Amino acid sequence: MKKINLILKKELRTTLRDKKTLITILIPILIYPILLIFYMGFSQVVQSDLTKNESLLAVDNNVPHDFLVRLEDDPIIRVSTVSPNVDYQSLEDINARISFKSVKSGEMYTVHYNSTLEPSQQSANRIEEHFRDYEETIKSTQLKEANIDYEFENVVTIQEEEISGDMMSRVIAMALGLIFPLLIVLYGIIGTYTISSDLSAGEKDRETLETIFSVPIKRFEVIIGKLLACVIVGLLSGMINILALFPLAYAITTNIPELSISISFPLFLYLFLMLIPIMILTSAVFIGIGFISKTYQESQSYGSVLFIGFIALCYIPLVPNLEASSLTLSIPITNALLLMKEAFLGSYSLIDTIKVLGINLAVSGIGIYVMNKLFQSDWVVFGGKS
Amino acid sequence: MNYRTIISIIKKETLTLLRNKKVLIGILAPVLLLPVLFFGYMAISDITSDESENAISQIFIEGELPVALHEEIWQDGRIDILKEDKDVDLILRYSLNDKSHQFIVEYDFGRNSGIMARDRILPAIENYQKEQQSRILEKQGLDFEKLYPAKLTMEDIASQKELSGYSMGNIVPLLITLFSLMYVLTFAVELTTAEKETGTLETIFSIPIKKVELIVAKLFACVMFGVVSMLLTLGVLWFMLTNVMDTNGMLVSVDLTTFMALFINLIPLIFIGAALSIGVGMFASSYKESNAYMTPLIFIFMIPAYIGSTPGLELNTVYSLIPIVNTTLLIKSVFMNQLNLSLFGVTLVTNILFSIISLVFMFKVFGTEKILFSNGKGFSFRIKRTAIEKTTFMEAEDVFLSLAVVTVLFIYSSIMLANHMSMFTNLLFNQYFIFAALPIAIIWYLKASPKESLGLNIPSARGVFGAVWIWISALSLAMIYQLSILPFVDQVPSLLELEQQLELLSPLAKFFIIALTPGVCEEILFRGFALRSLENRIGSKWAVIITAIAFAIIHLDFVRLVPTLLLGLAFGYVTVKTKSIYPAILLHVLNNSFALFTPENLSISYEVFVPIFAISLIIGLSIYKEKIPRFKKTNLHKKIE
Repeated sequence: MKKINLILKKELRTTLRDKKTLITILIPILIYPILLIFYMGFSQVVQSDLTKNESLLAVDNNVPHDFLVRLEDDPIIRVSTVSPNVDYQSLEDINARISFKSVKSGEMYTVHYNSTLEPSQQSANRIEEHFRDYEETIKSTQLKEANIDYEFENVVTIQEEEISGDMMSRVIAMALGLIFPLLIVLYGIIGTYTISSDLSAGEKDRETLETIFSVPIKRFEVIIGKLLACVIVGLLSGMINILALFPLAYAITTNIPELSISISFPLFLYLFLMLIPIMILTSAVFIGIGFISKTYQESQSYGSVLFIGFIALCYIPLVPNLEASSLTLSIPITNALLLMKEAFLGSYSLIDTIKVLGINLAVSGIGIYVMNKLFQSDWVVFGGKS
Repeated sequence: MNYRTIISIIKKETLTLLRNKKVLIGILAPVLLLPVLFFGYMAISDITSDESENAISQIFIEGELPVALHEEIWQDGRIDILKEDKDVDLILRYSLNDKSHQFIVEYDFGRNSGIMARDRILPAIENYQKEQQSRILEKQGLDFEKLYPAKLTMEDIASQKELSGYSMGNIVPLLITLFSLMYVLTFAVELTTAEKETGTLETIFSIPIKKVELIVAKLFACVMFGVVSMLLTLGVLWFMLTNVMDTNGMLVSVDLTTFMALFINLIPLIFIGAALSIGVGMFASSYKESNAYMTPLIFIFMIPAYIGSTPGLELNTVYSLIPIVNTTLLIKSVFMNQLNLSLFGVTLVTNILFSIISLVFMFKVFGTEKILFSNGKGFSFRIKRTAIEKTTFMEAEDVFLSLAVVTVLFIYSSIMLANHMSMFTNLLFNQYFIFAALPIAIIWYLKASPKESLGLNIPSARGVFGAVWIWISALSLAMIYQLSILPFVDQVPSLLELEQQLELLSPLAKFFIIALTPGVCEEILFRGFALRSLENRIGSKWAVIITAIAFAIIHLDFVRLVPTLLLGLAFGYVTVKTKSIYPAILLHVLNNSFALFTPENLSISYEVFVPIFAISLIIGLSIYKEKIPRFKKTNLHKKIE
């Protein structure tokens, strides 16, 4: 253990002494909040721009006055009346066209719009909203006249409620449960990817491996020391990213006090716990690849393919309707993300947690075994010159 | 420039790149991985949708449901009624009070199983509701037909071609823009950092070729590889979309001319990406380092591309002036068959202009031996202050690190402390502690000269006079900008809030909080602390530009980004010319007072501000044309002393 600790300390010191690695790890703290704030600022501008847009409507001149007035009273709608014979296509600068027919059973309105044109779709939505209002008024007038309005509305009432209390906060918790774990794991993986090549192929480049082997230390100890250093940097990188997102999370949680997820210490601990096996797994794989490659550059290129694979596993929980099931919980990395999402929703299952940790650790174990085998072989480590 | 030399270098670079495993993997990996990921995603989403479709919804019913309804729910094979309310997807609470049936449907909005159970049970209850209501209506001789006499039909006139273009229009433009910018990154690193790491750059410079030739060749090699890999990936995507997802309609809308038009527009974008990443790659001396620098660059590319793909956003004059955003929107407009030729032109010109700026940046970097072959001294921060040596100016790295720390602290303080302090206390705290006290403390800690590092020199009268003209020109330019964006942009809500709070204060308090405090504190940070040391370490031009960008960013206001940048440039220029921080403080206070006390109904127009801008700029520049002497104590002063 002492020797492993020695190697770990050496690796951590070299890694953290390198200011570039530090920058890579720390940069999100600065970049995220700035980008988020600017992004939100821009979206605000865009959104206000979109809601401000006026709708230009062409309406048949025989449309009943009661309905027409509703449209005309809306300040963001401009109505021009046209003859029923005029075709929509022939009208210029019009977002939607309302044609009207009076039939035996009542009034027939048809809205012509183009759903692929944003202003047109928006106008159609506005018309529909006004129509629903109009419909409601006719209905309630009739019910009142017959004096059955109370009875009609109350004979059957249906109310939907969120089991945990507030609906909005539940939806936000779900969204955060998807995004937060994804970012933590993603940046954790990026962290291990960044430094693993330096710990393995980098040593080959610098030809320092021979020196290490000349001291009385077992190869397995060297490899575990390196692995732990890589895992720690990965965890650090993941955690720093949570920290960088903290202002945003804080702003959201303080604005919605009833938010049912408290971004609490146990939650952090749980995320951390789930992250550890993933970091061991990716570190083992990346370091193993580093040993096969001859140079730092080569190790990064092989690693990049696996990196994409790992990322793909991280994105699986974003598939709509995907939830923790026996199938999904057996996919490494994906399973941890799914349980992290559950944790955000406030449910922790001990059995699932043990199962997922077990699966991920077992896969990591295989990774470490292969990595160790590779490292034991001089042919692999020194590129054939045993 | 000798074109033959350039072509032979391009050939050499192409060969090296093709021999490079990383490059080959970079080109081929997407081609191989995309189909795997694509089919994997489809398979998983098929399995999960089948799974959730076939899953049994477990519900608990409280109360005696009406028999008919209970039967209907009971017979639904997808629903399992449990006897306990533990581990259920949905709880249905029923009660009957005085002929009124009340249903409360409780489920978890955050889980698919909850939503699925709701979707299965609600139609039955709604049917029951309709039946009951029909009975009441019947008694009065009414029915639902009479209750809702008006019918609305929504008729979408969009053609199939338009519809498929629209569905593609939100994701494909984003991908194309991102691909064209990001692919060049890998190649740029190989062409720059790799040469630095292997130390071959010196060898290349020893043979008789010009730096310009070398860099142009590298740029073209980079662009060439970028285009090829982008086309390859797009080809794979196209193949999968047309053959797997049956979206043939989309292809019809992109004819050859449009395709060429798009391609022409993407070229400047690829040049922007290549030039910026080659420039940035040159800063790095190792692969590891290049990773650190490329991450922010990737973010800078990604954010505008994502903004451009916001649903509902369409290309207009303002957006066509923002690079990357404009391209994403332009491609989108092509997909929706709404290509506007004049906006296409504006976008093309904007992107060409920005690619020229990026090229200038790249050439500048390449022309600087300092960046190419040597590293700065690095941070001087040490845990023990005694280990730090005395100096006049701080190192550039120290300034960058400090600016980053100040920005982070400022953001965290304005978000986290905002709930615990009033708006103005928070503002004053940020200004005095973070913007003023912290930089002064850093200067003390690093043992730099406070007088020189902050620029505490008394300026000459001519220097101050010129400064006022420069400010007027910057202000007029900011006004012109405001005029041009006014039709498109609303006022920012946070500013509106600030204005409301300000109404409650006396003019003197307003002046103190909004004009004087920021004028002094922000200038201490930007034109004192940051600008003076950077000017000494990396030259005045870069120092002014960098501090102005930092100044604009720290205001955290998207709409005012450009005006703040202009003011930052003006203040920086004045400080460099007068070698003193005082004129900048004066101008900043003047500027904020102007914004604070100008009547709201003051009409601004191009006719007024364009001439003011031109005249004041000419006067300001001509005053500064000659060297501005430092303030000298006159003989009279000396005699008195």
